[in-house]
Amino acid sequence: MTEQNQPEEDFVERLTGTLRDGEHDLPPEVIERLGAARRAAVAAADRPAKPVWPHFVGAGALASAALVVVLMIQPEVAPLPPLDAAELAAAQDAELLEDLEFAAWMMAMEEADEPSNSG
Amino acid sequence: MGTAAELNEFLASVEKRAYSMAMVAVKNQDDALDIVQDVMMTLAKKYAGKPASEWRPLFYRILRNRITDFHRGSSVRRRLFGWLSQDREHPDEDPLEQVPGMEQLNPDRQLEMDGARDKIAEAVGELPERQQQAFMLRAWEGLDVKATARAMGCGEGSVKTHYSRAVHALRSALEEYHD
Repeated sequence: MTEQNQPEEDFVERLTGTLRDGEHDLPPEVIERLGAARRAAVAAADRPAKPVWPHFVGAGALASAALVVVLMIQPEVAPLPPLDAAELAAAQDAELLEDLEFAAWMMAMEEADEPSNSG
Repeated sequence: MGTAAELNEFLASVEKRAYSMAMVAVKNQDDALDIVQDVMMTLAKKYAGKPASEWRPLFYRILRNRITDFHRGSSVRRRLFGWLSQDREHPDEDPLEQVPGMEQLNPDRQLEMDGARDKIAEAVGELPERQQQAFMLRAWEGLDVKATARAMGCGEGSVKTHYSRAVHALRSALEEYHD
């Protein structure tokens, strides 16, 4: 402790010596609890962290098995007939048709509002 | 990286001192034990993989943080319960003045403080927090300035300042221990 002079060092040494002596007179229940806490801490450090991937592997295997069971027990459903070219085109244009219908409805509403707006 | 046996040996070497320091700081056996237990578990879980030579400053840094957290929590609790229990018939009285502070000791506790050791512990416990940490780590634990700075999370110059002020305050409080 180079920042101190000798009287200060002696003073500090007396204080710390007294405090350190006190460490040997701790109550038995305190020593017991400290030991238990230490053993628990060492056990926690000794226990390797469980890797996460086995959980995913397990979950994946379970999901696969469930899928197999579902596929095996599900009743047979008659396959839908394939769409012809016209139906397919209509389905693809369904969204466009909805947009056109909406535009027509808007125009009709605007026309209906015109008398009140102009009046 | 230290082994489990090394960790056990290290913790055994610091547990009593850490408890004694925590007792000086928080003045309650159960709180001090809880703090040391938490410090041990944190070191083991987070830093057991570090080289064993780094454990000591890390351990005392965690201890410092836990004690600081404890004081912050106590301060909040005192304010909260002081407000809740405010005497409505005497609204001008500051409820905080009615709550025993850390430095105020009840008569039973005062009787226990008769020994020299208890007087010193009391004087150290009344130091401002940073001075207390500097004294505990530098003098009581015997860390060098650099390790103390690491444990306190500050510069070496601050350690010297806090330590010097701590010793000065202790000399004033414990005049009977001078030459």
